[in-house]
Amino acid sequence: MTHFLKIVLRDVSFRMLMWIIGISALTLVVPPAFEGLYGDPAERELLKETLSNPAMVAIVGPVPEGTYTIAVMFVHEMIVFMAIVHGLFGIMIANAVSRKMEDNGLLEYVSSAGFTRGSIFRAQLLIGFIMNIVLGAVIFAGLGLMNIESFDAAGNLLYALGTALFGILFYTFTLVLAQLLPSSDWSFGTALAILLLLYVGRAVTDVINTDYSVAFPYHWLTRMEPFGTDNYVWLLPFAVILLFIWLAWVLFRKRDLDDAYITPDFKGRARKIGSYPRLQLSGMKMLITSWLLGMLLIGLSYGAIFGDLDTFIGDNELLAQAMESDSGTDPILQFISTLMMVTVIVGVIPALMVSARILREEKSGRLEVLASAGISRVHMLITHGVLGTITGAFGLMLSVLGMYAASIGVEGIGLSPGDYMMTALNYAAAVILFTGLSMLATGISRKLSTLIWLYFIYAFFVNYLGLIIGLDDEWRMVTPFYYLAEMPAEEIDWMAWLIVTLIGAALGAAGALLFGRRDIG
Amino acid sequence: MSVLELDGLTKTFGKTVAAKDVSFNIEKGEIFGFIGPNGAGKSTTIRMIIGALTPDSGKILMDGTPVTKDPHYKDKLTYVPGDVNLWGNLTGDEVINFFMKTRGYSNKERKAELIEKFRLDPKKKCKTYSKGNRQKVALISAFLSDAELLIFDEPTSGLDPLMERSFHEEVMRARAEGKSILLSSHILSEVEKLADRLAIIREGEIIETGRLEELRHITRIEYVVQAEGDLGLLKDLPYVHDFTEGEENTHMRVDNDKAAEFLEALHPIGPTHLETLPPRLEDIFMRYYEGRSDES
Repeated sequence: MTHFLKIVLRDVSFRMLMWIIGISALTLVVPPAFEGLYGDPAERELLKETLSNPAMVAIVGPVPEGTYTIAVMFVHEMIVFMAIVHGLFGIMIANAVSRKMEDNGLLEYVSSAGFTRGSIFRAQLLIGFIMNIVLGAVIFAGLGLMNIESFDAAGNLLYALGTALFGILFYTFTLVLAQLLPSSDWSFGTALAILLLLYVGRAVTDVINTDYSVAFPYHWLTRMEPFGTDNYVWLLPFAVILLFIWLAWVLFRKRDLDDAYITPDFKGRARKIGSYPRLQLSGMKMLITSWLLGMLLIGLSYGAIFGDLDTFIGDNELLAQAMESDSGTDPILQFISTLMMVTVIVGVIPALMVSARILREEKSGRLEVLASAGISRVHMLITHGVLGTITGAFGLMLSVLGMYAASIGVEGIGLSPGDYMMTALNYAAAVILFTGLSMLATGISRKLSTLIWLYFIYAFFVNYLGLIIGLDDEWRMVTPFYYLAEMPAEEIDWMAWLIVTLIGAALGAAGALLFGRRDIG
Repeated sequence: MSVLELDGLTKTFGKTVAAKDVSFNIEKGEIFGFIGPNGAGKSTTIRMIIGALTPDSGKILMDGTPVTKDPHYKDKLTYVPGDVNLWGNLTGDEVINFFMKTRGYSNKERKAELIEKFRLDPKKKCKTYSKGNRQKVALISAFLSDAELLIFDEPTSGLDPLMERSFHEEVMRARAEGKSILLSSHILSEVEKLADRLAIIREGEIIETGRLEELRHITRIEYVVQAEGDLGLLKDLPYVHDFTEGEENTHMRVDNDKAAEFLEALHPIGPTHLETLPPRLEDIFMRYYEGRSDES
C-alpha cells in the first residue's frame, strides 16, 4: 500500500506543491495588506458599514457581530472566496488520483499488480488528507508568524482547520462522483459545477435569510467566526466527510473498473460532422451548455436580491445620499455594477476553457493528424478563439437577462433590457481580451498557456479586493476592468471598449500566426 | 521526380539530437520502408514531413517543391500515427465521415468495402474502441483518401494477423494505383515483405538506404553445415558469428560479403551438407549493433 501511495504522491507532488504555495501565498498576502490599508479602527467600522449592503453580502457573506478587527475583517472578506480555491484544489487532485488514473488504465494496471481496492482507496484518501493538512499547517504557521495584532492562535487554528476541512470535503465528494460518473471529465465538471452553485446558493440565502444558509458549507466557515466568537461547533457539519468516504468506498468496492453507476448517454443517429468547428462543438456541447446554464443561474440569483438592494437603500437613506453625492449615480446601479463585476469574471472562465481546448487536441496527438489532413493550425486556433468568445459573450448576455428577469418586479431599478444588453456588450470586450491573451500564450508554447490562469486569478483577486476594500486602482491597470466603463452605473466608454477589443483581437491574431509556426505535440 | 525528398533534415530537442542529417527520397508508386528501433528518430522524421515539427535545418520537397513554398502540400499526403487518439464521444463512422468531408472525397462504396474488410463496427463510440479498432478507423480514412503519399507510423502495432494481411493488401493496392507509401516500422518482417526500398535509422541517423538486395551486402547469411572434418576450425574466423553445434547440423552466420572466403575455408573440412537460410533484416541490425558495441 505504501508503495502505491508513494508513487501516486510523487506523480502529483509538483502540482500539489504549486497549489499549496499558491493558496498559502494568496491567503498570507492579505492580512499585512489589510493592516496597511485599514490600520485605523474607525475606518474599519466604516468599511464594515459599506459591506453590509446586500450586494456585498452576496459576494462575501453576512457581516459579523462585534468589533471589526483586522483578523475579523480578513475572515469576513476572504474566507468564502478562499473556500472556492480550497475546494478547487481538492477537486483537481482528487480527480487526478481517482477517475483520471482509471481513465488512463492505471488503476487496472496497479490492481493487476496485486494492489487491492482497499489499498488503492486508502492511498487516494490519504493523499487528500495529507495535502490539506499540510496546507492547513502552512497557513496556521504563516498567520501566526506574521504576528499581526488580533490574529490569535485559536483563531488561526480555526481558520486553518475550517479551510482544510472544506478542501477535504470537496476532495471526498469528488471521490464519490468519481465512482458515480463515467469519466474524469464528468466527475470534474460536476464537482466544479456544484462548488460554484453552492456559492451562488449561499449568496442568495445570505441576503434573504441566513437561516437557510446552513445548507451551504461556505456558510459553516462564516459561522465559525474565527478571531470573533471562535465557534468550533461549526466544524461539526464537516462530519459529512465521513459519509462521503463511506459512500465512495462502498461504490468503489462494488463496481467494475471503468464502469459507472450513472452513464449519461446521448445516443442518436450519426451526426454530420464535416468541419473543425462542428467537430469541436460536438465535443464541447456539455461544457458549453452547462456553463451557459450556470451563467443564467448566476444572473437569476443576483437578480433575485435586487429587491433587497432596493429595500436596503430605502432603509439607509443617509448612506444612499452619501453614495449618490460621491459618484453622482444611483446607489442601486452601483450595487448592480459590483455584482456585475463578479459575474463578468466568472463569465471569462468558459471562454478560457473553450479556447484552451485545443491543447487537449495537441496533447492527445490528434492535432497533428488534423493538421496533416490539411486543416490549418491557424484556422483551428481561431476556431477555438471565436467559439470561446461567443460562449463567453453569450454567457454574459444570459446572465444579464437573468438579472433582468428575476428583478422585473423591483421598482427602483430603472434599467431596460437594452441597458442590460449594453452592459453585456461592454464586458464582452474583457472576454475578447482574455481569449486573445490565451490564444497568444497557446501560440507561443503549450506550457505557457497555463500561465493564462495565473493572470486570470490575479485579475480576479485584485478586482475582488478592489470591490471590497478599495484596493489601489494601480493594481487593476493591467486588467481590462480598469479601463472599461463600470456598467450599468457608468455610461459605456466606446473608446475604451474599442481599444480593449482591438488589443484582444490583435493578441488572438498574433497567437494564431505563431501557433501556425511552432512545433506541436 | 521524387514524390518526397528529404534533404539533410536535422532536429534537436534541447541536447538530444532526434534526427541528424536525414536524407532519402520516395519515388512515385513505391513502398518505402523506414525501419529502426524505438526512439531512433522515425516519428520525429515523419512529424517533420507532416509539418508538426519544424526542422532545425534541411529541406523537405514534395513533387520537387519545398513544402515551405507550398502551403497546400498536405493535400497530397495522408498520415496515420502509431497510436491514434480519437474523439471519445464520436462514433467511428462520424470520424471517418469527418475526414471524408474535410478532405473532400465521397466514395461511399469504397468506404463500405473498407469497413467490411477491416471488420470495424462503425456505430460504436471511439472511447469504447480498442487500440486496434482506433487504428482501423484511421487506416480506413487514409485508404479512402486520394492523397498521392500515404504515411504510416507503426501501422500494424494494434492489429491482429488477419487485419495485418488486409492492411498489406490495401498497401499493395494503393501502390498499384500509383500512390507512394512511407511505411515506418520496427517489425522488420513486415517491411521486408512490402517495401521496394528502405532506409534504416539508428540514433537519429540514416545508416543505410537502398533496395533490399543491395542491402544484403551488409547482411549475414545463416549456413547450416555438416562436414567430415572439424567444423570447429571455422569458429574463430572474424566473419563467422553465432556458431552453434547441434546434434546433426552446425549453424553459423557469415558476413555476406565474405562468402567467398568462407567457402574457401570450408572446402578443406569436406562439407557433406550445405544449406543457406534467407537473410533477415534482423541480421542487418545485429551487425550494426555489434559494430557499435565494438567501438564503445
